[in-house]
Amino acid sequence: MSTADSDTWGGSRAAIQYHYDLSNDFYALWLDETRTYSCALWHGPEDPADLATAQRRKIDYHIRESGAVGQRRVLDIGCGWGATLRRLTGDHGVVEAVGLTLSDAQADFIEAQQSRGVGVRRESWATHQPAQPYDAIISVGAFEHFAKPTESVPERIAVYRGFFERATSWLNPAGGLSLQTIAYGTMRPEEANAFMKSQIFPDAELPRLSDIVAAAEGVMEIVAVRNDRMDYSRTCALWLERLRAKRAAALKMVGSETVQRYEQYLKLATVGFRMGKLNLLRLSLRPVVRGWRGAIASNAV
Amino acid sequence: MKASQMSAVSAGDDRFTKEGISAWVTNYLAGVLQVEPSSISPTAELESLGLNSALVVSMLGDLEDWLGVEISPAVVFEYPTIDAMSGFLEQARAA
Repeated sequence: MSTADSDTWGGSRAAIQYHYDLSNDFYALWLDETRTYSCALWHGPEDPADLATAQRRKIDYHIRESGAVGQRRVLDIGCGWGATLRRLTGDHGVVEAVGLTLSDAQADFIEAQQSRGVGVRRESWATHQPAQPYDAIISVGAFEHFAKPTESVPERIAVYRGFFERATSWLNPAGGLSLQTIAYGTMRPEEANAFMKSQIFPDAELPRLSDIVAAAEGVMEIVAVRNDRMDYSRTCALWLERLRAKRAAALKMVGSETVQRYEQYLKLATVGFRMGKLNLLRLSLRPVVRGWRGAIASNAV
Repeated sequence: MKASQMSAVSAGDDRFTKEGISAWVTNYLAGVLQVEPSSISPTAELESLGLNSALVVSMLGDLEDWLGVEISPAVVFEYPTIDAMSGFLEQARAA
């Protein structure tokens, strides 16, 4: 792989920075206090939990599903502003939590926190080369950026397969991967909203569940799959409400065009998840054949 | 609601009653779907009209501008008919 390819294959740094480097203060305005920018977890529509509680619950879900509790080294691919990293070391006894992000704004924020046991690397999973294996891997809201609209379905599946192969090669024998991603539901890729694809998440393509299943085949076994799309509709509706409540501050930070764009995106997402056009998948996976892992790991690491 | 929008609404303005809002939504959807307003039942599920997410969001945006209130996108699911939604919006606007 050339240097140029390594900056776009598996996730474009420029595309990530376009969205996530907008302004830490702007995101802090309307995300919850944990600064978690992904779907929260509720126990059904009647669950009265507030956004921060539902976000912590989601983080804890992935920590449990990946088998990270009390482990030594855990990797978070697409670590955002570090909420999961801090939760791992602060509340779940993990000694070392390593985050990968392509967003400088997010990495700067995590580094400034100087949380004990938390490290961040400005790297893609496609180029990451850990010095030691991990006991568990978590990836929430990153998979959406791995494939590109210009890639064919087989090419996208090859990217996802590359991800599962690398994750497998980095894991210790008992380790697991907990993955959360948006996926196409009843919406076909060609029906995807042009505004979302050009102005909100450029150069990104969502998977279908069948793409993920095909990519994992023979590499990782899928232990559990949940589709919590209603939780994402609720999360987006709450984000929109919070952004609107802080509109005056938001306008000062990023200007009216951007605020309008984000409001529009959150409205579309609220409706899209609610209609089932989009799904929100949470998958628990583990390497498929334990005996092979040692050989793969020793070659790749 | 903005003061300018408040002042534009005179007391007794019947455009913003449940019936007025219902007529607005019916006409809006008839225009978008290119059908006669009379063919859209106010008690039919909005879902049955085959609206996509972009259309729902546009309609709510235009409704917000017209009514001068912010509307959560969840409204169309919690009040899934023109009748139910119009009743809710009348109350929301008056609140």
